[in-house]
Amino acid sequence: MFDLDGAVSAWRRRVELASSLSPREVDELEDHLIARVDLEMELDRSLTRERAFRVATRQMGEATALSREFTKAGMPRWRVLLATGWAMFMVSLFLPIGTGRGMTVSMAELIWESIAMPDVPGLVLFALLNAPMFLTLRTLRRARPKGFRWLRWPFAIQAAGVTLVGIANVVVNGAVLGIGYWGYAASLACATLGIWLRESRRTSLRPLPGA
Amino acid sequence: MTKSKASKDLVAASSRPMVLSILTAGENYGYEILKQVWALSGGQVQWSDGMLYPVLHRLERDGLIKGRWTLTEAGRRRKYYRLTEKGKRQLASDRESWLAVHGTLELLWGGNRV
Repeated sequence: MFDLDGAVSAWRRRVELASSLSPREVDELEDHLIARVDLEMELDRSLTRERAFRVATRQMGEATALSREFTKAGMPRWRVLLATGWAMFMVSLFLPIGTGRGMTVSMAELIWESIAMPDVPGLVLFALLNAPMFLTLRTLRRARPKGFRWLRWPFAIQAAGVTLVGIANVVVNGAVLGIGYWGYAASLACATLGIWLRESRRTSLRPLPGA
Repeated sequence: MTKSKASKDLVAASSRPMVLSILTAGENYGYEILKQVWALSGGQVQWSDGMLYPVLHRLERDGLIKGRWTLTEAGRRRKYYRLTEKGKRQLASDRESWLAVHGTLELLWGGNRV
């Protein structure tokens, strides 16, 4: 016996994995697909539910084609924020992190020095501090990356921490940090906003209220 | 006489006024909008299933329509769209433009120039 719910869930998983559509977007397509199945069976009463499902999925198109159509309509805000955060992050690496004497060094130079020395603890610290940022690379492409939800918290804490350290430096030491530092803080804040916004679009993955 | 289907470009260009016009009758959801377009045009304007939602999302992003999620009787999520004030103004402007094009073509074809 053909299980429509199971087939729809499998279709949904395929679309989520092969496209960059958000769960909310897939929700809408799923509703459409089920309505399509009903219509196909209404139009041709000899159709079995399984055959109607196949016809309906063909009408909907491949996941990649669907994704392309959605891309034409513009990038969702969360992805714009995350992509902007990444762009700022990359640029900030090459800008000076301080303004005083001996502080005009950029983060990229520090990393390079750590590699040349080699300063393993320094590199490990950099990798650990920026692990949330690197983990978001997957989210730029996938609709539902595993282990995504918890990322928003370390990200928010890191963004707030970096910003507070910068402000404390100005207030306590009177040292105005360089554009590289503030660019780095802004990139984290931007990516954090993107991730939180993305999370708000994931509600469909939780049980429906009253369902 | 065989009915010819509207070209892709024409379908794409007319998608905004069509969606906005359908929503003047009240809020509606994607599949129903698609069915109405198909029925009203006698099957001549055919939107692909995958094309409609990007159009709806773009209109929503532009503030011309507003979506809200509801639960169907079967317990599924469904997104309904309604026209916003900005959407109404856009529709009035689109209507003017399309009527001007339509009027011009009517005059040209009415005069048997083609």
